[in-house]
Amino acid sequence: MMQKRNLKLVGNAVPRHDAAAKAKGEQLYSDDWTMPNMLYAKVLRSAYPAAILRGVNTKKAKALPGVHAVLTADDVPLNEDITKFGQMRDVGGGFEGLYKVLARGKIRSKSEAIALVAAETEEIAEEALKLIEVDYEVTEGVFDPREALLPGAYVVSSEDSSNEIMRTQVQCGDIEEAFKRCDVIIEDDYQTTPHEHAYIETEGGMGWLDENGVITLRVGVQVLEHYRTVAKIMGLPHTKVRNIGVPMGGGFGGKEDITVETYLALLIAATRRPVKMVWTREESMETHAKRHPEYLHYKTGATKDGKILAQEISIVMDGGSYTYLTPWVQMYSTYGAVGPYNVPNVHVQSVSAFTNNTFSSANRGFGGPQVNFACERQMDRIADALGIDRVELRRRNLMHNGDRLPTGFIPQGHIGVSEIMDKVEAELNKTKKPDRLPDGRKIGRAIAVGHMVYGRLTFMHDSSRVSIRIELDGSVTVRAGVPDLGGGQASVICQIVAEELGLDMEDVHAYIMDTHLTPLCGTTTATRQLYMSGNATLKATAIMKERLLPVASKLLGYPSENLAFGDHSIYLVNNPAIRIPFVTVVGHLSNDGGELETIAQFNAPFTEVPDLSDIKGQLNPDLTYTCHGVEVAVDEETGMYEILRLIAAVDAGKMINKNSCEGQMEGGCLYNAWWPTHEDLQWRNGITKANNFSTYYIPTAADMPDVETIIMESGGGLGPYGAKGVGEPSDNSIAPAVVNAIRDAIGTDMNLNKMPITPEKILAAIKARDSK
Amino acid sequence: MKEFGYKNATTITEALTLLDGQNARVVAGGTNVLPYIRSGKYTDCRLINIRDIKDLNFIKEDSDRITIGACVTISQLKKSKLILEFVPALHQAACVFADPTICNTATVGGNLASASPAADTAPALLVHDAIVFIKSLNSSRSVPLSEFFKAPGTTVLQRNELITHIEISKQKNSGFIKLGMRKSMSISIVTAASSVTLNDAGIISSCKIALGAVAPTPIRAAHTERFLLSKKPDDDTLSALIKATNLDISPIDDIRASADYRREVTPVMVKRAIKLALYEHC
Amino acid sequence: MSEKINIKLKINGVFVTLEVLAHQNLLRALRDNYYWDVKCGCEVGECGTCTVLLDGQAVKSCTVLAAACDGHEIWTDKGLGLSTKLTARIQDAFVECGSVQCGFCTPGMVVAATDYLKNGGKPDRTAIREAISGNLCRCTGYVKIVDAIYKVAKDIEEGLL
Repeated sequence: MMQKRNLKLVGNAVPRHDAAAKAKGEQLYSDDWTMPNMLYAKVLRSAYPAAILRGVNTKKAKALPGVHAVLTADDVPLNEDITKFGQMRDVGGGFEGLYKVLARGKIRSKSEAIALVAAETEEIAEEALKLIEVDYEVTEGVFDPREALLPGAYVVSSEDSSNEIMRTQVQCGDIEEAFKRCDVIIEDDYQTTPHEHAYIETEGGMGWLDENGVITLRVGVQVLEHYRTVAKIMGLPHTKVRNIGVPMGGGFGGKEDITVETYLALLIAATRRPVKMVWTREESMETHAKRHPEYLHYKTGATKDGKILAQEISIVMDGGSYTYLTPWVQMYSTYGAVGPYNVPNVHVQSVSAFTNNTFSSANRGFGGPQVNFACERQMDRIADALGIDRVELRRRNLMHNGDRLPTGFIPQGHIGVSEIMDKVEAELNKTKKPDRLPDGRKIGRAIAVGHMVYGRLTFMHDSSRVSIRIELDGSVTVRAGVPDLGGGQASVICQIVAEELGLDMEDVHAYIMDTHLTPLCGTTTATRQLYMSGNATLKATAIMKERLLPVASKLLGYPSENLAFGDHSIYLVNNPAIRIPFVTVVGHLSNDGGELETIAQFNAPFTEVPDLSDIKGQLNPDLTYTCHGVEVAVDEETGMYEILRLIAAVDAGKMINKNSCEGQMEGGCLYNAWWPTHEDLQWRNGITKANNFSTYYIPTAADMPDVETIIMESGGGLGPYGAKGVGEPSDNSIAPAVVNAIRDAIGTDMNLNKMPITPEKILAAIKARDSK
Repeated sequence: MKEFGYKNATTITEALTLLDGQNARVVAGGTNVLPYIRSGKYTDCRLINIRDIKDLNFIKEDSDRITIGACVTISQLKKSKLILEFVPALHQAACVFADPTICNTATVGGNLASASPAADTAPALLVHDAIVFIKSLNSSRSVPLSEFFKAPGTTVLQRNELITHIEISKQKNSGFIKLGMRKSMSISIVTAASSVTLNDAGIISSCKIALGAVAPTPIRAAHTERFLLSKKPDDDTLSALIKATNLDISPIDDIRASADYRREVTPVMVKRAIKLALYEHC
Repeated sequence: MSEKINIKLKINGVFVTLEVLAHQNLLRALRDNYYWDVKCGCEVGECGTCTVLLDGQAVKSCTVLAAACDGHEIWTDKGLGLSTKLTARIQDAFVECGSVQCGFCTPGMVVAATDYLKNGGKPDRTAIREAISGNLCRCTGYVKIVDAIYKVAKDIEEGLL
């Protein structure tokens, strides 16, 4: 455990370093950069979800006045590469699929890019797209991963002989024998729909060729390290591609895959002019990755005293058109499928497949929310079958410190899920549940729990680097390649530096996400920045303190170990009146030739790539546990429901920024609350029918209640000050809580297992209930 | 490539002159037209801006009628005391229309001219016997709103014509209700408006019901009206609407809901619109 | 090519002349002239991040014809913050209350909040939610945005602003 100390900034609602600029409209995003002589670029997407590309004729498009480049696969120096996601270690073929820049051979989905255009204006570029003649041989395609896995199914890609992407399993105990000892077994199918990130900023950016021949990009991305892929595609050394990253207008995993970077680089190289590309909303929703649709089968057995003995689970995942992060997401779904429960006998099998749908990849929760939905639906049903209170059933099975995950790994961080569940239960039931609202709507309540890892898969050997430089006036510059997607990833680093060196937020300047000038922090994904870069920052400040303290010790005449940093000073702990200004110590250190700048690297735990036929041991550094309590009102005449109360609880370990931590919990609720019911992309044979915000319904302010957040601080996390990550865990366990609350209101399980759970399906369930 | 022209009209006559014999389109608030331009639904025409024509922007009261200029915005309707008192269904429709910022530009004339089956002002206006006043350079005419819509996106309006104003009858017992997937920024799944008068015995002596998003155009629900006439609006009556209502509607499956669902919930919406008209008017 | 129109209007308190295309929306016209604080999120009136004040009312600039703004007055988040106490206070409250995450919806939100409060909006969370219901936010769950607007409404009510 960390030592107790008085923290001045950490834990408080400190305004973020970038909040004022954003509020005042001064923050520039990817679409807000321009240059003289800049061209506008557009992508030609496939007209069909499945086809063979016979040929592309760009002659007419090239002849259009104002068009400067029309590129196809033949113009790409290296059109096919392996997908990388910023990892420092090659993890092999099973986890790294094909990255194809422009279409060649089989077209795998409507999002496939066939050609790129750069022109004087956006309108000319759009016109040029219409003039590109594409010779398609339209093929049947396959749109359901279960069908894609059948023998003789249409094969999605030209590069593989089958549609299977990956198959893996986790097992422990003896599942067959255990089911024999169960008093009740609940077995059912579940389905989850693709989920759209729906960040308000679509993908985009611009770039130019600088005077040193460096392709320089200004693109907001979650993975700055994609510059390496861009360089490889272009046949350039890594040093000749630079991304001066831009804060993102939201990411949620959707800007984890490469977006416009390669397209811009190719067009910049072809035209030697600055180029800008911004996707329309429709293009964004039809093109970027979605949360994997999953088809799950759960068989859960319990004894009559409510002890879960066995879980047998099979999962089929729709990987869509390309591999991207499917194998990694599949790992999370597979070993997270039994939930935060002690289940002695487990068998989880999963398989992922290509289809002609938009590709699936990262989406906040990364394979967690799908299995959490099915698992928490099962828990309520087991409880109902046994006649045990639904929360009590969970209590009898929840993990505690020292318990093992099905892979045999014992999490090192605090397991506080039962504590937060108790808090949510007390809060939700502090008033007796009314049967109905005065307007007649039926009330339902439910609680769901979840566990979600923070930090990347440990076999990737993840690391982060942060640099700090103390200026002669006592201010500090932090350099960190931390892409900020809005979660406050950069601000929290400033806060740690200020805390450690006894300064104010205003004294710390953040220079972030420039591949040429900032140490690489790794990706803003996997809820890892606070854990990884926060720890790297702590290390860097520790180095600087070790340099400053001997100087202060000499000046004050007290031993270093009795001194501390605070109020812009270094002072004697037992008598703070004895102090010396921070800036004075810095001056002396500089005069003595001491180093005022340092870089530190933090490494996560390292493990080896697991045996996919039997996953064992540690896969991630640690987990964060959440619990959500929901009260809904269901209109039994229309099947519409309204969320009346949302309680979101987490063991955050330690809050670094109170506003940011609560903000994640509040935003996480909104992000997934409507996923099961409202947020349906309406995929029909590879076509995204709901491709804008008038058909894909995300909640407005009028639709959401205030979120009541409960943040427990156990101190038992692996991040700085004992913090855990909350970004992705925050959206786990909300979706099943909503659906279970609907179940509680309407008193039937019918139609509640397969998304989308539309008002029509809820109404049908109510009518079926009433006709019995 | 887009090939649009533009002219600003400051008077009705100027607007009509610009529309006459020209390949021209009217723009008022722009909330429909701008998306039409972006999607390519409108191409190559001259856009005639009418939002600054003062004679199109008024709400007036006569003894038993209210007149609303075509360029009155939904926000103006929402804030109008006259509308609140004498056209409660329209007030209620304005309150659930799109969202507050769209309401600040969208106009009542534009909502009707776009002829969406789901246009939220239409059912409310229908139960208030709205008459649409239309002008061209050389003629003027008036059309009952019930005869104004022809098909989705199509009305009786000719390309050289302009809606100048809408006349509606006062009726304090009217109501409007909308079923959408969200509380704001929703395109309706079903809308229902009603205007109901009871005699001293509490029997429905006159009744108008209009529905949106359940037919190719907003419609009056004649079968439902006949069913309700001379009945008490009690729970028994209001729970037995389904047969009559289903004779009135011809819903389709679309991206928002299925036809079957619309058939299920339309009677519920009618019931609620009647309750609003009778018991909850402001 | 669409016809080019010169329009004279007042943007953020300054009289300017802009050349716009006949069919262009106000959002593009503003962004083409470097009013970068007006963001583009959907361009069909469904997200609200392009919200500006047009003649004092919050509107979605992507659904307003630029040419039709000739002779009218536009205020954006940035201009309002530099010129009016109310908006500056709202912006500060957004910073204090943690209402800003990615910040992409923020300029539109601040403009919608300005419209609400300058028209006598009360410290009423439901009414505030209604007032900003044309502005989508995907990061915050709206809670802290409502907090900020509520706080300023309360200040106004108590005569502190």
